[in-house]
Amino acid sequence: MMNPRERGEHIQRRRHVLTAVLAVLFAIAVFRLFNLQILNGSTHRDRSERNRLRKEVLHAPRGRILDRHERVLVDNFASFVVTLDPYDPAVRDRRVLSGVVGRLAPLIDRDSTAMWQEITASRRRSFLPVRLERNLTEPEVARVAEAAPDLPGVAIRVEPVRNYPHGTLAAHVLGTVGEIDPADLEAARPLGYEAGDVVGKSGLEEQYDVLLHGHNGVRYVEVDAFGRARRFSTVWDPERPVPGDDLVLTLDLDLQRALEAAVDSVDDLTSGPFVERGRVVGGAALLDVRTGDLLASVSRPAFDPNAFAAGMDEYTWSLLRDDPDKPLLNRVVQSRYPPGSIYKMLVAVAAIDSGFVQSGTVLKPCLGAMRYGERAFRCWRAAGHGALSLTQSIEQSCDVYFYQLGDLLGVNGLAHMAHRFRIGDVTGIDLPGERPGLIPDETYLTSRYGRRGWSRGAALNLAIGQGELLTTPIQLLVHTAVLANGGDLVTPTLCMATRSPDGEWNGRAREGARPILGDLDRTLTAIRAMMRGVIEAEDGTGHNAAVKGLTMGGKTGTSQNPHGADHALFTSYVPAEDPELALVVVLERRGHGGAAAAPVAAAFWRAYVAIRNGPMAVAEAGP
Amino acid sequence: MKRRLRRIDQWSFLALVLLVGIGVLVILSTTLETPREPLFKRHLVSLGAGLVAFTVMSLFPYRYLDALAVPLYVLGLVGLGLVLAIGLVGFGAQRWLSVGPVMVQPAEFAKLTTLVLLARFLAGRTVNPRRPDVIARAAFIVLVPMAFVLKQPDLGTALAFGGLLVAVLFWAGTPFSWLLYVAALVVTGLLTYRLPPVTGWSSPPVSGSVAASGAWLPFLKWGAFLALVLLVLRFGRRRRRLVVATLVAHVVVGLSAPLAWHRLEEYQRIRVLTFLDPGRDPSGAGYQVIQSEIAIGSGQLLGKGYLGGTQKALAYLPQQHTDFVFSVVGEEFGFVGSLVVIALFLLLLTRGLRVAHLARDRFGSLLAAGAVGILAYHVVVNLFMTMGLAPVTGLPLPFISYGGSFFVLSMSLAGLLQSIAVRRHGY
Repeated sequence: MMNPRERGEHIQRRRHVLTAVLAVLFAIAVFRLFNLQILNGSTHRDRSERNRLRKEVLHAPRGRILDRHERVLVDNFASFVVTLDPYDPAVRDRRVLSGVVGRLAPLIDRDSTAMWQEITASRRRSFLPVRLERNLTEPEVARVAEAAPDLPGVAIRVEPVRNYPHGTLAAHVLGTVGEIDPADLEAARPLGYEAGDVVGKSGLEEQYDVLLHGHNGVRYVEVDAFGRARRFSTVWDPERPVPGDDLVLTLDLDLQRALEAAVDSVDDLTSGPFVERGRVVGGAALLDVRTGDLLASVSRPAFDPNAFAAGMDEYTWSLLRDDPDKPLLNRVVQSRYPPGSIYKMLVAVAAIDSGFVQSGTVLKPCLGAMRYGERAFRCWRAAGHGALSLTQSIEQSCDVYFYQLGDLLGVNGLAHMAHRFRIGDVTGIDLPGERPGLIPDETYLTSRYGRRGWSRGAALNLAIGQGELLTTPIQLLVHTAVLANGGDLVTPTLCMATRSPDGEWNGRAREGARPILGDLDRTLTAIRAMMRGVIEAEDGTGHNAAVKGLTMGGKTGTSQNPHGADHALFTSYVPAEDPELALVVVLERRGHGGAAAAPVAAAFWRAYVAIRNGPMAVAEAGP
Repeated sequence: MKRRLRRIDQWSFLALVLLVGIGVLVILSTTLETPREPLFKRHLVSLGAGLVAFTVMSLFPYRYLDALAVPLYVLGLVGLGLVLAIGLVGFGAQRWLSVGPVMVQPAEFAKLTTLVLLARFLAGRTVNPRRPDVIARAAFIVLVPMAFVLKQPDLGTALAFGGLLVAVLFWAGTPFSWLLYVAALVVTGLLTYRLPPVTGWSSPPVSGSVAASGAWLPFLKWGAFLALVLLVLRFGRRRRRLVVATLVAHVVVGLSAPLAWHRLEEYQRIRVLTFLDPGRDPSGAGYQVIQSEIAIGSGQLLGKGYLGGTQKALAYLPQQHTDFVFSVVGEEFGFVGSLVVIALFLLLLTRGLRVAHLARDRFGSLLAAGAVGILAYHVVVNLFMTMGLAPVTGLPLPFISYGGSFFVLSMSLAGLLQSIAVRRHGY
């Protein structure tokens, strides 16, 4: 190869070449700097100080939410918003900024100290202008615009604000929106979210936020020394915001209205001592048992999501937050109740399946209570039911009959059938925050109370749906659907399809009905006959739910409440011969299911018949 | 020890100290009174880590790197693989690995390990850097980590590996004309990447539309360029085999460039196109460059004074503490301050070349040249990018930008240079 001297020269040459290359590149940089800073320096200084380009985010309107017949449930309206940019050079001096705040506050009728706090907090959070007030009235807009020369950094913008035209209707399902939490922002940024974005905080708004959100646009405004927008930039084209997708729900506006009205009318429908009246607390939901489409869903007490969209003040928020009845809770999927006697169908299936009884089997007569070990287990009817068959026990909801079945099946026998029905599992409904139920088995009781802490008597309480058992209303509704449709598990679904701004439809992939109880077909047929008896038999506990022109199956339930009056439960499906729809009603502290919840169901089913047959017919429950 | 200390390259050490000091001041300026405030503390942490890296690397006898080259290289690849497998996502790309509370960018570490293996390979006694197969093997060493980084996807960092390869090959003795052949291939790529991709030999490129709309012009340009290359080779009296090989290589590049272009991530395409036509992307890179130019230009001769930048104070200058940190230098310290910073970089890099020249062995010489190559690539591309002379590739400025992994890498390279400098007369 090379001798050392040659190599030395060779390296020296290369060093010089590389030095020259570096020198040339750096000379280009210096020349460019000279060009930018010296030759065009004053132009750039001018642009930086007097004639700056401001980037404005154009927030994309969220997609609308429509009912199954594409009637609007949620949309947006344009609202005047006043913003202040604390990073505007014109207000860099704190005294100037506080002067601006002081002058602005009375114009928009706000407290300047609160505003000042908001600005300081936001300044540490992001570089964006702070939204000080939404939904400005026209006189307010005029006042601020007039005073604009004295208000550097302040701007009035038009932004889409979420609008819920039906107010509290289906509020828990639709959900709420609010400004994105800075803590969530980092993770959400790759998905196209920006600081200051309005995002879903609960309900469907949260669940489908990625679809509803859309893509923000930008606009460039040339701004003068006072921070006033002079004109839209001609150099930079604006980028239009792309609205989010529309969501088409399985919900039916007419049925939703009818169900809300029925639930709210509970005071007019019931009478009796020992129950609370006045404010309704509870939940109700309507399901298509063949597909899992959720057609209506109500939770009480309700709230108005418009209050969240407009930006909620601390006081309103504290009222909602500290309300003991927790209005923000969607009781249909988030509250858990002992199912009470609604659980008896499952117990009956287990007993038939185990060969202990058949529909006609008569056990020991009910004398109002049953002695078991040291304890007396009472029937809800103190006078007793006498000797009953299984069918009659379901119809009249006799507790003593089911105590005997519970004793035969044991804690694990009951839990086994509950697991086959998937009753304690989350249903997989497309709403955030769904809670699972609780199906206690022997392992659970031992871990909770110790090996000696519980006795076989626990099975007696579980057999009438009390004890540690907990289920949500939506789980009871799916359970009813499984009984009604002959053993097919359905996944309750709210979103039927989406439509992009270009009008492109996308059906939501959903799980079809899955047979989970194939071998129990005949048993379920027998159970449905009993449930029909609950409504139609002379002594049926659910006779209050009977509606002319509809055949119905159902079951009442009364769930013991350690904190007050019992909760009233009622589940039903129509038509009895070939079930299509199922309805569950849960009313907290309203006493017996047959007395309080069944009449509410009846009120709804009457309205349903009227809607189905009416001139404005919502012909079939299906698009 | 004392004698060694006296042998450190004092000029480049001085430049390093001043650059790091300026960096701390500028980062403080960009974070003061803004939502970025906590970042300054994090920068002080990376400062400490960088000082440790510098000290360790300068004390470490670099000849031991020779034995460690392969394990280090493999470790670097494992890090890059982990990023793809379990890495954290940021700005639409996976670049970080979290090691306990620290976020690490293995791509920066891989630059160092790749350099070490490349230097070891080319320092071999029997390796002749004029042979095409040697060049190909050297390129392979670099292309493997580069492919990982491209996959992340991080275009700027991937191209830095290319800068490293060119610098080390040139220093090792690859003829300049070879590098020109490669440059010619790059030109072919640039001429052809926008053409409709040809996916099979039989299918014509998007039938009809090409001929109809005058889109044949790029084909014509490319043909003219090819003819020029062949003419030069012909008159340079190159061997026929070389001429044929060149022609084949150009055709292959010309056909695969459009395919590669279509496989690029959307944001990368936008960056390249934005460079060619800054007006086309007002919201992204183009806006950044314009605001950066305004910031630098408005600094004029003496700048607006420390902490006095107005562009900086706004959200107008995105990434001003990382990739666009130089625009704050330009705005607050003006032409004079920018010249000082550029001069310090030039001093550091030319002294680095001196270290490479005077190194006592070929391995050290190549290591030093590679270190200078990596640093020079970052400095030049970053400066050009902030001044609107190069596309926005997302490369930080050594010693000044915020960003732990890259700062530690830069300090390690500076330490490596000192290690080679103090041992120039023997271990």
